[in-house]
Amino acid sequence: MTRGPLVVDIKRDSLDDGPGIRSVVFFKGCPLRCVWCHNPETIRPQAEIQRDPRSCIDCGGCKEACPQSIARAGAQAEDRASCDLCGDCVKQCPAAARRMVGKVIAVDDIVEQLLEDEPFYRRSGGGVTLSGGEPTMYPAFAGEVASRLRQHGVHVLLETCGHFGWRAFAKHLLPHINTVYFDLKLACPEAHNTHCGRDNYLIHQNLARLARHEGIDVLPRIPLIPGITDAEENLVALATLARRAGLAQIALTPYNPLWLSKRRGLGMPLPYDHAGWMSAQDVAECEAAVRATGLRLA
Amino acid sequence: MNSLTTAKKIIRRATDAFLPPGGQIVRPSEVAQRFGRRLLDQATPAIVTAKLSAMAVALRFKSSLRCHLADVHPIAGAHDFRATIEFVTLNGDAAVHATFGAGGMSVHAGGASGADLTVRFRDRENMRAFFAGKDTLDMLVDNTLTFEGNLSCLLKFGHMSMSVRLQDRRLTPETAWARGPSSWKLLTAPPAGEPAETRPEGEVVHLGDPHFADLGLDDFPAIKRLLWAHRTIQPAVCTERAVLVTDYALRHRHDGTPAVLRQSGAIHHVLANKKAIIYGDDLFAGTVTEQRVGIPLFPEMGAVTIWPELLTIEARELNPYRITDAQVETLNRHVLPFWMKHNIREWTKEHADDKTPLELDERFVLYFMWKTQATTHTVIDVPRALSRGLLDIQAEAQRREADSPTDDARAFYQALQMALEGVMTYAENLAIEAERQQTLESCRPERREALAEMARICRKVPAQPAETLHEALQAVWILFVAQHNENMGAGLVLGRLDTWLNPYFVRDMEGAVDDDDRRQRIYRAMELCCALMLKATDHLPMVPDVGNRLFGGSSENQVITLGGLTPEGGNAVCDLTWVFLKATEMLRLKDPNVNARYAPNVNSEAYLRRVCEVNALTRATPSLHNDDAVVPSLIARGFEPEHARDWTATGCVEPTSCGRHFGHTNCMMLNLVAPLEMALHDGWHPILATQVGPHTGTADGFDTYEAFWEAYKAQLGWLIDKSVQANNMLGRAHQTLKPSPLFSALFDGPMEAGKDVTQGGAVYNTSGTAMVGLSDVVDSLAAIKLLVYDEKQLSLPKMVEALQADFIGFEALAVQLRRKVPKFGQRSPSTRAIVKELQAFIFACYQAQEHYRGGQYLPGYWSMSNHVAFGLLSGALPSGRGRAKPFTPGLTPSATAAASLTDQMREVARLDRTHMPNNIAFNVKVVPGANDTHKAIVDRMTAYAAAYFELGGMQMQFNVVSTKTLREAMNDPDGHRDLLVRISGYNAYFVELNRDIQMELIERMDHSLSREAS
Repeated sequence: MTRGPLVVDIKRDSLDDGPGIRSVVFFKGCPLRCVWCHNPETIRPQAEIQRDPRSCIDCGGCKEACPQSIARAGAQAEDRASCDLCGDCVKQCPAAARRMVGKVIAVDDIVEQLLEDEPFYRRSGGGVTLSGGEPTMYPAFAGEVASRLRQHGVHVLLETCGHFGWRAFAKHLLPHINTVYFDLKLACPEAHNTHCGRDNYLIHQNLARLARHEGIDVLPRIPLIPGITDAEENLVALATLARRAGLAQIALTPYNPLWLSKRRGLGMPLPYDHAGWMSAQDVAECEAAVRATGLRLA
Repeated sequence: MNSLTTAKKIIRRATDAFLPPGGQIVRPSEVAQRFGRRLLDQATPAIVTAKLSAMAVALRFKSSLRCHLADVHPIAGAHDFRATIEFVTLNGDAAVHATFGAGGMSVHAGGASGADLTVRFRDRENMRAFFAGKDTLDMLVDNTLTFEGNLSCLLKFGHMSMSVRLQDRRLTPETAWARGPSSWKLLTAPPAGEPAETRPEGEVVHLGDPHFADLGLDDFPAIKRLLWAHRTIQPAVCTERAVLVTDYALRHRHDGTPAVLRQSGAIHHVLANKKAIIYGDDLFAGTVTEQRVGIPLFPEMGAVTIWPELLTIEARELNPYRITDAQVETLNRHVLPFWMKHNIREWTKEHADDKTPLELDERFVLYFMWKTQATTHTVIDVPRALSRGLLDIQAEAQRREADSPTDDARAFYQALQMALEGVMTYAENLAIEAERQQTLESCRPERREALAEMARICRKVPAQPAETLHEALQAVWILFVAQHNENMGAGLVLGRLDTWLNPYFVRDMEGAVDDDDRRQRIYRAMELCCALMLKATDHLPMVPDVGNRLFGGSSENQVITLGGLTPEGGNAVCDLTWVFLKATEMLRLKDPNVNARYAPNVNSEAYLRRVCEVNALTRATPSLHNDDAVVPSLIARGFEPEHARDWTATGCVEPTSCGRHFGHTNCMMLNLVAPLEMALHDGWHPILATQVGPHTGTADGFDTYEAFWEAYKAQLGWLIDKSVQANNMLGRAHQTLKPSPLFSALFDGPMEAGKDVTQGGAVYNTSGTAMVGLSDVVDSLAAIKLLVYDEKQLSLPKMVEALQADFIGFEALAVQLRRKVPKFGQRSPSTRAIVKELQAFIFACYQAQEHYRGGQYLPGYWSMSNHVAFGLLSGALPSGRGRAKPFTPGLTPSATAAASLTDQMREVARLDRTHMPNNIAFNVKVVPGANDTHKAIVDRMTAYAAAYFELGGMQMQFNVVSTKTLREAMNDPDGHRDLLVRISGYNAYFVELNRDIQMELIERMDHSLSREAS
C-alpha cells in the first residue's frame, strides 16, 4: 500500500456499532468478497460512483454532464468500465442521488472530526469504531488514528473480517485497540472460499492469537445469512472454535436485506439475492444452536 | 328610512339580475355556477348592500337584537353604538359603508371619510366571503382582510352579523363534550420509573428512594380524583372578573382617581367580591375563576376578540368553551361595549403619533405583540411573601406612604396597601367558606377536619408568615389566584418551588416522631405538591378560534423550575426537587410547564438522569436547561451573579431572575423570514401584497452576496425598529391605563424605588423577544450564497421566480435546495458563518433600542407554535421549504438537514449564548426501539443531554415519541387524550392541536434511540 487509504464515510451518532454513542470510520477496501456483503461500496479499495435510484429525479443532468456520456438516470445500466471517475455527474446531480465513494482524508482531519464528539462518547460509554471495508488493510494508518484517539481517552473498537497479516497488525494497530468485533462466517474452508473469496485459515489463526492477547476484548460475531451461514453445523462449529480459543461470548447478527439496493446502485452483480427478513423463530433457532456449545450470547 | 328604500331598490335590482325566479336567497357558489365569477364580482357592492340592509332591518325590528344598537346599563345608563364602518376593496373600486347611531343603522353606497373603521378586502371575492360569514380574525390573519381604525368595532360588527344570521341563538356542538373515563377510579396510572441507584449526598436528605418507584397514581386517590377532573371537565367561560372590573371602572371612570389607585381599587374590588370557592375534592382553597375550569376574561386587554365568537364558541372544533345565554348577554351588553376604546390596543392606537408599528402588528405576518393581551411572563418574589407575610409588606408600604413627600408617591404606596388588602380579604373569604362548609350536614367527619385546617391556614396566610409546607403552598396558591385576577395569565410563573419550599418541608420532617410518621409526612408532601400543580389547571387563557391556529393547544405555561444553582452558587437540588419530579411523572400535565435546570459539576448526574427518566416516561417534560450557559448569558447582560443564578424559566424557556426582574420575556414574536421575503422584493411583502419595508433594491440588482445580505439586514433592522416602537407604545399604555399595584407590592424593587413595575420599579427591567424561523433564514441565505453567488448556477431573479411558483416547474431546483445545499445543523462552515453574523446583528439591533422602562431588549430563539402560524403566512423559501409549510420550531435544525443528533447538538451548542439571553428552544424527537429497556433509553438520553451541556448548549427538550404513535393519535384522539408533546418550549396534549401543528410534529426528524438496524 503506497498511497493512503480511502475512507468511505464517517458516520456519527451510531448506536449500532459497539457500546454507547459512537462514530464509525468506514475504510474502503476488503480482502474478502462475501457474496452478501452489506457494505458493498467498501469492497473495492478504489474510489467509485454510487447511485441511489430511489433518490434520482430523472432529470437527465448526469448524462449531459458526463464527458463520455456514460452516465444514465435512475436504475438504467451504465458502462462503468470506461468511467474515469471525473465526478462531473456527481457534482451536478441536484438530487444527490450520486455520490463519489472514497476520499483521502489525512489522519489529522479524521482525528479532529472524531474528537468533536468526544463528550458524547465519554458520557455514553461509547467511542470510535473502525470499520469498513477492512481497517486492517491499512494497519499503519488505522493504527495512527487509533493511537491518537487513545491519547484523548477515546475507546476504540475494531470491526474486522479477521483476514489480515498478524505482524503488521500487532505492530501498528493492536496496541491501540480496546475491543475487537471479529467476524466469523463459515467454518468449512471450502465453503468460505466459495462464498467469501478466500479460505478461513488465516482468520481462525488470528482469532486464536487475539483471544490469547491480554488486555483486549474480543467478541466474535456471526452474520446470519439464510442458506449460507445459518446452518446448525456451521454455527456450532464456529461457536466451538470460539470457545476453544478461550472466548466466552459470541454475537449473532441477523440478516438485513436492505443491502441489495446498495449493490445495484454500484452497478455490481448480485451473486446472492435474498430479499426477506429472518423470522424471530429462525433467529431463535440459531441462538439455541450457539448456546448449546456453552457460549453466552452477547 | 331613505337608505332603507335605496337598499330595497338595490336588492330588487340584484335579485332581478342574478336570482332565479322564485327569489329566495341563493348561495354565491350556485350563482357562480350559473353566471360565472365576473357577474358575481360586478354584483358584489349590491350583494353587500343587500346583506347590510337586511342586517339593518333585523337589528331594528327584531326586539332581541335591538340591544346591539341601543341599550341601558345599570351603572352607565343609556348608551348606543355610534360608528361609521366602511367596507372597501383594496383597490377601492367597490365601497359600501354603514352608519350606526341614535339606535339605528343605515347603509350607503360608496366610501365614508372619517370612518371609525375601514375594512379592506383583498378583492371582491373576499368581500363576499366576509359577508357570507367567514371568520373575521381568520381573514385578518390571512391578510385577505385588513383594517384601519378600531378593531373592537370590527369585532362587535362580527358579533352583530352573527347574531342576525343565527337569529340570536347559540350554536351548540353536534356531539356533546365527552371525555372519559366515566369515573376517577377508571383512570389508568402511568408507569413509574425505576428505583434510584444512589442517594446523592446533599440532594437527598429525608427521602427514602428519591424516585419513589414504589408509589404510583393509584396510591394517591385524592390526587387521582383531581387529575380525573382535569382530564374530563370542559373549560367554561367565566364572566365574574369581567363584570367586576367593568362595574368598578364604570363607577370610577369620571372621578379623577390616579391610575395606580384606580387599578388597586379594581383588584381590591375583584378579590374582595369574587366568589370564595372550595370544591369537595380540594386540598387547597380558592379558584382563579368561578368555573371548575374557567376562562377568565380581561376586557381591558384582549377580551374583545371573543366577541364575534360568543354564539359559536361552544361549537367550535378545537378547544370549545362552555358558555351560557346569560353569559353571552352579559358580555355583549354589560361588559364589552364599554371597553371598545379603553382597551390597551385601541388606547395605544388612539394616542400614537405614528400608528404604523401597531398596524403592522394587526397584519399578523411580521410580528405578534403580546402586550395587547398581557405583561405577564414574569414572577413575583415568592420567598419574601412567604417569609414576611403580606401584613408586614403592607406595613412597610404604610410607613413609606407616611414618609412620602408627594401625592403621587403617597398614591403609589396606598395602592400597594389596597392591592394587598384585596388578597388578604380574599383569603379571609376562603376561610369563611371553609368554615361554612364544615357546618353543612352532608360534610363527612374527615372532610370537616380538613376544612377546619384549611380555614385555619387561610386565616393565617398569606397575611402572616407561613410555617409549614401546607401553609406555604396554600399561600403560593392564593397569591397565584390574586395575580391571575390582576393581570391576564399568560406565562405567570410558579417559580423555583423546590428550593423555596424545601425549608418548610424540612421543618415538617423535623417534627416527625418515628419512621412511620416520617413516611406519612413525605406522602403528604407529595400529595400537596401534586394538588398545587393540579390547582394550576383550574383556568385557561381565553383563546379566540384564530388562536387555535396561531397558538395551538397552548395553555398558560405556568412554569415550575427545578434544580440548578442556589443564588450563592451552591446546589439547589433538594428533597422537594425529587418530589416535584415524581409529581410531574405521575400527573403528565401540559401545564404547569416543568423546567429542570442542570448545573454541571454541582448538581449530581443522578439528578440529570432522573430528569431524563421523567422526560422519557411523560414523553415531553421537563425541558432541560444548562446553568453553565444560561447564568453567564444573564451576567453578560448586567445581572449580579447571585441574581443571575436565581433564575426561573418563564412561559416557555426564558430566564427571569426571581422576584426582582420585570422582564416581559415574551413581549413579541418576530418573523425572521418576512424580512427575507421583503429583501427579495424590494420591501414589498407577497402575502401582505403591499410595500411595507424600505426600498432596498430589486432581486436583479444585487451583484454580490454581501449586497443582498445588506438588504436583508436593512429589512430586518427596520422590522425590529417597528416592533420595538410598538412594544414601547404599548408599554406606555400599560403605564397609563394599567399599572400593576399587586405585582409592585410583591416584587423586589418597586417598594424602594416608589415606582410601579410598569414604570421600571423592579430591580431589573427587560423585554424579551422570540425570533422565529432562524434555521429557515440561515438555510435560505446559505442557498442564495452558494447557488446564486458562489457557483452562479442561477440568478437571484430566477430564484425569486421559482419561489413565486412554489417550485412548480422548478422541481430539480427544489430537490437540489433540499439535499445539496448546506444547512444549519450540519458541520458546515458556511452556515456557521451566516448564523453567527445574523445573531450578532439581531443582538446589536436590540441592544441599540430604547426601552420604555429604561431596560434592555433581550432576543431569544424559540417560537411557541408561531413557527407554524408564521410559516402558513410565508411563501416558498430558498431553503427549499414550500409555501405555507411550517418553519422549524425554535432554532431546531430543519429535518431536511438530516444531520445526525450529535451534529445538531454540536452546532446548536456552539452558538454564542451571549447573543441569546432570552434562551432557545431546541427540539429533539427521539424514538426508542421496541426492544430497548427502560434503563437503556434513559442512559442514552442522559448521555446526549450531558454531552450537549458540556459542549455549551443552553436548553433542549426531548419528545420521546414515534411518528407511528402520533399518527395513531390522529386517528384515535379519544384513546390518546393524555399524549403529551412539547411544541417549542411548551407542552400540549397532541389531540388538542390543530392539524398543521400535528403534522409539524410528525415531520420532525426522528432520532432513533434504538440499537436495532432499521
